[in-house]
Amino acid sequence: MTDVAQTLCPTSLLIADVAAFWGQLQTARAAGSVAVDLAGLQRVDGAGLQLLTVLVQQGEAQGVRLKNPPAPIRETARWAGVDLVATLS
Amino acid sequence: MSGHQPLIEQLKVVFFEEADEGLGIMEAGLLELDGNEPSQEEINSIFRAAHSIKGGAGTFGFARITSFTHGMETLLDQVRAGKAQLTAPRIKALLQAVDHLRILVDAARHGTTVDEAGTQAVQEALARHIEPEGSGGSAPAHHQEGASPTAAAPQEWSITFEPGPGMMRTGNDPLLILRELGLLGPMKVEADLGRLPPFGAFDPELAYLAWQITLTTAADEKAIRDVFAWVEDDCRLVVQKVQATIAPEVSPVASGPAAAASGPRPVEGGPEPERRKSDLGSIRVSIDKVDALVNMVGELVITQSMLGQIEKNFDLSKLARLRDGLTQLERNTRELQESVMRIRMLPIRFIFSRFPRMVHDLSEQLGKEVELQMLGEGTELDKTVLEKLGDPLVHLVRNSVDHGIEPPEQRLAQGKPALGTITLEALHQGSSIVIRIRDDGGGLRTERILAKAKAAGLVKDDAELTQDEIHDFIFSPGLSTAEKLSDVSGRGVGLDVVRKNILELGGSVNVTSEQGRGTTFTIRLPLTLAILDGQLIRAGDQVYIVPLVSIVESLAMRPELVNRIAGRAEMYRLRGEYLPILRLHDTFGLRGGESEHAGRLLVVVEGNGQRLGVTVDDLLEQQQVVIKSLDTNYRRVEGVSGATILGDGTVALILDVAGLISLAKGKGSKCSTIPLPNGRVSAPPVSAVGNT
Repeated sequence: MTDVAQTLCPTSLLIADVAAFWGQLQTARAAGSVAVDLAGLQRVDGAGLQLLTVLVQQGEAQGVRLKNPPAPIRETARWAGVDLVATLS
Repeated sequence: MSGHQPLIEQLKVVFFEEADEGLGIMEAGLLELDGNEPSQEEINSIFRAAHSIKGGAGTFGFARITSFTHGMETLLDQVRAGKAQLTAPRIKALLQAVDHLRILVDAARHGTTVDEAGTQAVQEALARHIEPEGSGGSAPAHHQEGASPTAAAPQEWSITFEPGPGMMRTGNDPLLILRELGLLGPMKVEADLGRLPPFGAFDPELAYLAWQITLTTAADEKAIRDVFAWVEDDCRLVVQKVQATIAPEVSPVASGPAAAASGPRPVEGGPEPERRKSDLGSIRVSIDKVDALVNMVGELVITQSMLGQIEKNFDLSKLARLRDGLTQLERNTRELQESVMRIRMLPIRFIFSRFPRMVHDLSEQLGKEVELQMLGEGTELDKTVLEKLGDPLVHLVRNSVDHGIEPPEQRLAQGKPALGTITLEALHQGSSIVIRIRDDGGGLRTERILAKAKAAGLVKDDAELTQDEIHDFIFSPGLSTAEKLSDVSGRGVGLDVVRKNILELGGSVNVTSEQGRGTTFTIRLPLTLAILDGQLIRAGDQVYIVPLVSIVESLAMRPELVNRIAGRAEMYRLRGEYLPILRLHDTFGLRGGESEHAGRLLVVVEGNGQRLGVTVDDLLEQQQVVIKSLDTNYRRVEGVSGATILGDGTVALILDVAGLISLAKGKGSKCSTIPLPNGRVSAPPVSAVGNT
């Protein structure tokens, strides 16, 4: 069984942040499974939401798992019609 | 704008600049409408400015700006749709809203907060002017032709929104667009994940998500499409009534890699490329100027290459080509320098644009009728000069409204039109910019100014002064001739500061006035503070630079025309007038100062409306010099404004003409009056008298 690396999500996932975070994830993923802690995440825009959507939709198969999504982020996702509430929680 | 800033911060800077422009357009447009029958284009222009600010604010998450502007937009939309008339109270409410919106934008810019109660109060005041939906409004009947009686009934719309791949990279956030759409009414949003690529091909900055929205709103299709106005060329948008049978209109589709690679695009209906800006932290440069700069760099590279070729295996046969090359290099360098300097040049309208509103408000407050005419708004000057010019100009314009223009009844009694005129004019003269503030008001009261100056001990009782010299006293500290104090001006604090500020910019300010006809303030400023055209002069073994713009003439001195007053100050008799002399050798402790004037040259300089003869040993060449601050690199030296490095590597001091005149006054303070040939008594420069 491989170790699961823990990665903290930044407080903002905006268009200016997503590329760097995506790169960070790719690097971490190369070494094995990654658990992304969303607890500190406070702000997302369309790019951030989209990144979360991809991670939720395809991340498990790629060794990336999200955890601790804050309620406001879940609410934003729900409001934007991304029906991932159950998965995120 | 720093290239190291994150993209989002750079885009925010652009938003704030555009918001400033939009506010300026709204304010100028509303003032233009004041009292006039508005044209549809004028209304549209104001509406578009509000809409752009709202859209931009939404993009960056400035929710309070978005919601506040929404109210303004609603009222303006009613006006342009003929549902509401643009009455004077509505214009006033909109102007107040513009003021408050400016506060909100500034707060967003600086990350500060604004009193919410104040924002709500302005918002509610504006809301009282909005016609209730479905009401007939107060517009003329012809405006309502074709209006559907059921237009205001809520209706269900189906909206398909597929962002183009590159939409988010241009700073447009689909979530904020959805949020703005939600302001129109309740909606149900479903995301379409079908365009998401496989994990390995995912690019986090490209837009893949799309949305299907059902919106219930009383707004019409145009209002819905307006929400997407910023991105309409960068998305696929389908808007259709749910129960409608008509074919939906589809907006232009932008998709594929090309769209993803596209940069920011101009927004249709966005503000003109001009702005009202108080914080000029960045400047927008026209592409023409950048192209010129690039061309110049190209020329420079070619010249460098040519010189490089000559340098290889150089012999005397190539001397002529070398000279040609160096001449070309000099020309290229100068043109490159001019191109770079032009980038810093901004039109003076950035300052002028604040005055229509200011004059409007002040004249209303003072019960006067004032028309402001502005000429030469496109005249450009250096950004640094522009930034420092604002306050002095504000003071002078306020002064003209408050003290210059008479009340309407007084003007009518004098046979003048009730409407007074203030003219703001800017023009280039050589390497200077001249700004005039002219009013057709009552003019300065010469006798009153003289009496005040005498009372303040600024002039002797028996002094004989010209009218202009007397008028110049209004720039003296603490001297106000206003009959009553107001909160506009008249406290004797200000015009002296105006002159001080202008002098600090290396400029001058003068006043001319004719009683009953009006007053003109004339400001003269260098176009740039970074480079000046200088005359190199030699005094002793030192080289100095005199700003060319300050030199009136130069002449060989005739010792018999020099008079010494009270054993101290020297005056030179020049064509019947007496000119104070300053020996540069003495001033700066140079060798040779003790010798007499034979063989010396007199450089006549002018600053602040006064003249001075500076004795020098030789006039050297003229050249442009780059000004380096002496204050920063050494310390402040009286009579010196800065330093520069000459071609041979030596440092030369740049003379501060106004400072030299002050020095000369200090030395000549004992000679308050000089007999002129015609027996008249001439007074020395005004402030020299104050030194006695």
